[in-house]
This record gives sequence, C-alpha cells and structure tokens, in this order.
Amino acid sequence: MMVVAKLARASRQLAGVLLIAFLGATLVFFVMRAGHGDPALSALGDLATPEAIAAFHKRWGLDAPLVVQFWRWLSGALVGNFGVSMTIAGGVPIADLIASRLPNTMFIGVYALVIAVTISLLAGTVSALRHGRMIDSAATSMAVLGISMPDFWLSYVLVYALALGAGIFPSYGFISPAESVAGALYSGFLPALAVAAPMAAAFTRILRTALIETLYRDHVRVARSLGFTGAFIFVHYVLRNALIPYVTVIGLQVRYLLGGTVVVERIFGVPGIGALMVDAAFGRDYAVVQACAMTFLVIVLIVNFLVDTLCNALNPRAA
Amino acid sequence: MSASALIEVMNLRTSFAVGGERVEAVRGVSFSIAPGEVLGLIGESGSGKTVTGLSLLRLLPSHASVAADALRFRGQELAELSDRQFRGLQGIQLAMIFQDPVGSFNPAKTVAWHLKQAIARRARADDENSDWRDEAGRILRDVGIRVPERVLASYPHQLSGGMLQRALIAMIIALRPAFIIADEPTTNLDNLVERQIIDLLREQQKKLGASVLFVTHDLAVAGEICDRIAVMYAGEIVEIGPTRDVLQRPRHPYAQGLLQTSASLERRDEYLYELQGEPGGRGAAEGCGFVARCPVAMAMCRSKRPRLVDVGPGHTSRCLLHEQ
Amino acid sequence: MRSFIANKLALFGAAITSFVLLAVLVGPWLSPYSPTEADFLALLAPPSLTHPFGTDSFGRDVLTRILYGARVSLAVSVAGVLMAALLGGSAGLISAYAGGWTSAVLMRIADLLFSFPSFVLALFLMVVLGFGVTNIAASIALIYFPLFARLSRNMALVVKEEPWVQAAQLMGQSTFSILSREILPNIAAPLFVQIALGIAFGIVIEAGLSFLGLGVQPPDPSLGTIMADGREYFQRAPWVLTLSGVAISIALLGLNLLSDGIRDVMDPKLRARL
Repeated sequence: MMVVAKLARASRQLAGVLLIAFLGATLVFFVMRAGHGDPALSALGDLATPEAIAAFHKRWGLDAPLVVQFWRWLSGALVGNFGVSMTIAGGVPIADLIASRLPNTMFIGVYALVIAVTISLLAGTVSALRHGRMIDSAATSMAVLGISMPDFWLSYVLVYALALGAGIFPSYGFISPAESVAGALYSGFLPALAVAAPMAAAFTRILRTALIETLYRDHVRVARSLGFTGAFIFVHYVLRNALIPYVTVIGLQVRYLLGGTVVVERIFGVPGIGALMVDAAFGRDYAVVQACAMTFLVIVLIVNFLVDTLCNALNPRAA
Repeated sequence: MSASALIEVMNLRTSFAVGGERVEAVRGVSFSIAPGEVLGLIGESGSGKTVTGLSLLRLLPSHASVAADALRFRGQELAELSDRQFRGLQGIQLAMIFQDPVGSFNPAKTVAWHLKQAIARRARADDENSDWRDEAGRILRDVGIRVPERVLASYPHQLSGGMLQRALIAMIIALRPAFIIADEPTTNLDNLVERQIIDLLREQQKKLGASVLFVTHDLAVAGEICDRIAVMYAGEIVEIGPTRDVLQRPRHPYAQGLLQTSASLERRDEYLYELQGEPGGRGAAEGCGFVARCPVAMAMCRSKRPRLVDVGPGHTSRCLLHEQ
Repeated sequence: MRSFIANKLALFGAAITSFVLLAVLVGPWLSPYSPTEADFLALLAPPSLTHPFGTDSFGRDVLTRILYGARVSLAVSVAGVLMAALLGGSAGLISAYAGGWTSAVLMRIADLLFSFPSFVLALFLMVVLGFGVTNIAASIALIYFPLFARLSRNMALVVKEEPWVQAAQLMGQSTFSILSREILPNIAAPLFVQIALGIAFGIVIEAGLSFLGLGVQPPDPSLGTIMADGREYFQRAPWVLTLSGVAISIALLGLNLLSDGIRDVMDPKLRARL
C-alpha cells in the first residue's frame, strides 16, 4: 500500500521535473533568439550579403517558423543532437563537445562535494559536541570566513600557498579521469578544494545547528537513561535525525557548487562545461551557450530529484 | 537509614549555573526506598521533584552540579563510580520513565528497533542470547498491546500517546531494572488512558519487584500506587510518611493545603480552595521556605529554618509548629 | 533590538558593513588619484605611504580603484537585489491573492529560474543582453526573484488565511494597518537577512562576471576587473589580486555577520539555548 503511494508521489515529482526542464528549454531557446535575433548575422558577420544570409538560413533550417525551429532543436536535443558549433570549434557537433567535457566538470563537482561533506561532518560534529567552547568558536569563525571568500579568490590563495609556494599541487592543467584517475585526483585537488570551501562552510553551519538542536531532544536523554554508549546515541539518535536538514541544504547548495565550477575551471584550466560556456560566450557561439545552459539545468534537476528521493527515504513521516 | 534499603539518598543538593548565578533546585533532600517499595514524590512544578530524579541518574546537562552526603544503590556509593561504570548500571539497574512518551522515542526508528535495543542491552548484561522478536511480542502483550506486530512495525509518529507509553513501559520491563523513576508518566495522557497506565504500572511493579520513585503532582494517583509519600516544596522535602497517614492526616501546612485543594476540587466547590501566593514561591534565604504562603506562619518562621521532626511512626514533617 | 546589540558578532558585522559603506561613499572623493588615469612613472609599485595598496600595471593607485570598484559592485548588487525584492515581492503577492492559473504560472517561472545554477543563469543573461553593468544588475534581479517571490507569497498566504488576521479584520482593522502593524514586523527580519545575503552574493556574481571579462568592461574599475588585472601579473605584483580579494571578503564578511546576527535575534530557539 505504502509502496504504491510512494511510486505515485515519485512519478508526480518526475512529471514536475520534466515540466521545468521543458520550460527551461523554452526559456533558453526563445530568450537567446530574442537577444541575438539572427544567428546568420553572428556567424557570417554584419557585412554578409543578403544572398549569403538566405543560403545560411536555408542550410540551417532557419527559414522555418520559430516554433518549428524550437521543436526541431528540442527533439534533436532529446536524442543528443544539439547541432554544430559555429565559431569556437567550427563544425564540431556540440553534443561531442559537451560529452567530452561533461565528465571533467562532474568529476570536479563530485570531488568538491565529497571534500565539503567530509570536512563538514568532522567540523560540524566537533563544534556541536563542544559547542560554546573554544574549538567551536574557532570552527564557526572559519565557517563564516569560508562563506565570505569568493571561490575564485580562494583559488588564488590556494595556488599561492600550495602550488607556487609549497609546490605540492599543480597550479594549472587538469588530467582527465579517463586517462588517469590518480592524475585527476592530484590535478583536480586544488580546483575541487576551491569550490568546496564555501560549501563546506555552509554545510558545517547547518550540521552544527541541526546537531545541537537534536542533542537536547528528549529522546536523546531517554537513550542515555537506558545506558547506551555515547557513540551509539550519537550515530542513531543525534546524527540520524540531523541528517534531514543537512541533506536538504546540500541539495540547495548544488546550484552554487555548479556555478562555482565555471570560474574555477577557467582559473585552473580544467576543460569542463563551465569553461566551454565562457569560451562560447566570448566567441559568440550561441548554440553552444544554449546547450551548456540546458546541460547545467538538467544536472541541477537530476541532483534535486536525487536529493528529494534521499530525503524521503530518510524521513519516516514522508508517506 | 536501614541497611537493607535499595536506594539511600542523604542531603542531595543540585544547582544550575544560569547566566552567572547559581540557582538551587534541590536543597538537601534525603530519603530511602526499600526493595519493592513505591515512594511517591509529590510537588508542584518548580518544586525540584523532576530534578531530583534526574540527579540520581546523572541525566542533567553539564551546567548542573550535583552533590550529596550519600547516594547509595544496594549499599554502593554511586558518586564513586566513573561515568563508564555508572553507564553500566543505567537501564539495567536504574531506569527512568519520562513524562512525554511521544518525545521519548527516536522518530527515525520503528518501535521494533527500540525494543530490540532494550532487549539486546539486557542480554548483553546477562550474557545470554535471546530471540528478540519473540520476547518483544511477549512483552508488548504483557503491557496490554493486543496486536504487537502492528505496533512493532510502526514509527513513533504513527502511534497514540497511550500506546507509546505502553511501549515505553515495555522497553523498561525488557531491561528488568531494580529501581525505576517514573516522572509523571500519566500527565500527558487523557483520563481513561491514565487509569489503564496506572493499573499497568502497579501490576508490572509487583511482577518485577522493582522499587519505584513515583514523581507526580496528582495526589489521587499517588494515593493509588505508592506505599509511602514525600511532599516537596521549593527544593526540600517538607513531609514524608506512609501514604495513608500523609494523605489523610497531613501535618505540614503545605501538605494540608494540597489536600484541601484536592478535596475542594472533588467536592466541586463554588470557590476552589487555593493556597495563597505563587506556586514554588520561596521566602527568605534563612527561615522556612514556605513562609510566604503559609496560612499559619509565625514570626520565627522567617528566621529559623525548620528540620524534619517525627510526627508519627515513620512519619516526619518539616515545620516549626511541631517543635512546640 | 537589545539582544542584537548583545550579540558581539552581529555588532561586529554591522560595524564592518557600515565601515565599508562609508569607505565606498566617501573614499573616492577623498582620494587624490584617478581610478582610470595611467601613471607610467609608477608601474607596479608595491604598497607604500603614497600608495597604500600599491599600483597596478598602468600605474593606477590600487586603493582608489578598489574604492571606486567597490562602489560599482555594491551599487550593482544593491540595485539588483532591490529589483528582485520589488518584482519578486509583487509576484508573490499577486500569486497569493489571484490563485489559480496566474499563481501556478508565476510560481513555475520562479521555480524555473531557481533551477539554474545562479552563475550559469547570470552568464547566460550576459550573453543574451550583452556585457555591461546594468545587465549585471538585471541578472542578479532575476537570480533572486524566486526567493523573494516565495517569501512574499508565503507571508501573503498567512494574511489571507490565518484566523487571527480575519479576526482583526472583523474587528475593523484595515488591511493596511494589519499589514504594517502585524505582518511587517514578522517579515522584516527574514526580509533583511535575505537582502543582506543577496547583496553579498550579488557582489560575488558581479565580481565573478567581471573577472571573466563578461561584466564591467575595463578600464572601468570593479572589484572583479581589478582581480582580473591582478591575476595577469600575480607573481610579480601579488598585492593587486590579493588586496582586491581581501576587499571583497571584508564586504562579504560584514554582510554575513550582520545577517547572522539578525537571524540569531529572530530565532527564539537559538536564543533560548544561549
């Protein structure tokens, strides 16, 4: 009985997600066209002759009504055909560009998430258990500093300290995980850390607050009265109940995480989607910008869906 | 203090550090409980009765300080035990039933999980293996839950307060402790359920042979289940004696006032008898703690602190009136 | 209010924010240097008495550029956030009172905008609208629109449906008076927290965009462009990048501490714990 209800709920959520994806595609396509009108002009230049423009239109199906073009673009996108890059990688299918770069961005993103979660679990736990004391104040202050430093500045601080200064990590360049996982972990550490730091700060704060609130709940006291060990109580009574707000915040922060990768990729020379989008922006390759925007949207929607599912699984009241 | 007492408390003092000041919640409470005996601890909110229980079981937050001349369980001085050693006693020998059954359960886990932990805790202490599901079902039936499987599979938020209180009692029974502090176990329940829980508690206490410190503000409930009663006011015990004596012939002005109020309530008087002054209101630092509200206070009550004085067999009261 | 003053961190935050505001408003006038004129006699000079923050590759006084740049960053951010509050607030109100299709559409739009990573959305809009300062403000406005829309919608629903509001209305209190005397004090604190945080993040977005070259265009100073400059000669003259970064961080720190302070004061649970 409950399984059916949960399936129904999940499919309703999925429908909502698909709706937003569709609306997003609409927004991206039409707004781009509204802003830059004729792709022919941007590809061929302002001095293009009317004949050249007409030929361009015919070649790329731009003579069809806008809605039809949208439909073609969308249906193409659904099967992975985003069209072809105009300027920054002339003639290369955009799908290929994205496919080659997406793993790098995802790698840095996941790497950053792992770092942020690890740091916050440790720091949040320590400062909650010792709250009010020195180590808590230290951790909280660091957390506030963490969210006050833009990640692109932190990148340089790290580069200065750990790369140029101590020479432990490379200051530029990225080895794709497809070539060498170890290489990727090594060259990706600084960029991931730069993106992770503000996340870690935010996660630590929410975990600390959630833990402290749970520590004073009645059921924790009951558990203590039954003689369970401190570690057992912490894991099953305190942490377990603090996980829900914690995971929720992680889900909310993913948007910032992805946004952060854009600049950090540029700084560290990571060939990811963010860097691609920036290059395309400068190169006026609007089709690529469009495709990148859609890719990011889809990633966020997928992550949100996963986080929601996880939260529902953790929360026995969600039925 | 009898040598065969299960619990002996002498001069328990508990205070809290609040914003730079020390607030005394318990000011020198002494009592003993024999094996299998139920001692009632009656008082208003703020009298220190709950804090007394929490102090005994080391369940207070870190800004509380507990001190006592003696705190003995089966003759063993509890203060000498390290936290780890004391934890070995918690649950197995010394247990507590809390006031709010709903809040006492881990909201993320089923009732089955809770019972399993309790049973496993006991089994670990006794060094025996048991099939916990059978035992869990048996215990739940014992506390009056006729369909244990459904309750076992449920999460706390899916069950009523009464059901949860039964499940909580079941957990305690699974542990088979020698001493139980029941802190207002029926206050949050409605009257019909309250009746059932009281009967259940009485039945289980007899079965286990456990000693109980029954904390409550309800005289009627205390009358039904307790062998002896102690009345607390502003952190002190003001009267203590056999139930019948304390409830029918109270000697301390506060206890008398409580009884009159209770009787007035039952008679449904038009004007409810009340004690003047604020609940828990304490007089000056020296002198009797009840002086501000006492209807028969004398001049010397303000300056001289009364001690507990014998007023009957096994019955003492803390009032200067008795010393005359 | 009293507990706010008692909270030292919050006071610290307010102090920093005020200091930053003051520096930004007054500083540029006090500086003898121009933020854009080059001085080829003093290229890449390290910090000294005449140039407390040193000079950049064009000989421009870094401190002056930072002050002017901070002015731009703050102005853009504040404009964007206020626009978001206005647009979002109105959208939320309309959504709450109109209900039905209007509400569904407005909220879907808000959800949609919220589903893009903020920086990506900003980047996209810069491509569409063109690089430049006003467009940055517009991007920030669209990024924060959903947050304010949701906030105002929730509050408006409270107004509509809470029994005590209806009771007040029955007793003759005008809607306006209810809004200002009962609703507004409740919403003021969360609103300020979001505005402060929004301004902080807006500064980051603007700096990031300008840093990449998609925002404020050189030679106009903005905290981001200064950082972009500084990055090119980072090893020779690290003070440019470092100090502009420090400037951003100080502004953010002040805003974050301030919003933390307001939040702590508002939240009764946290207060009880203290």
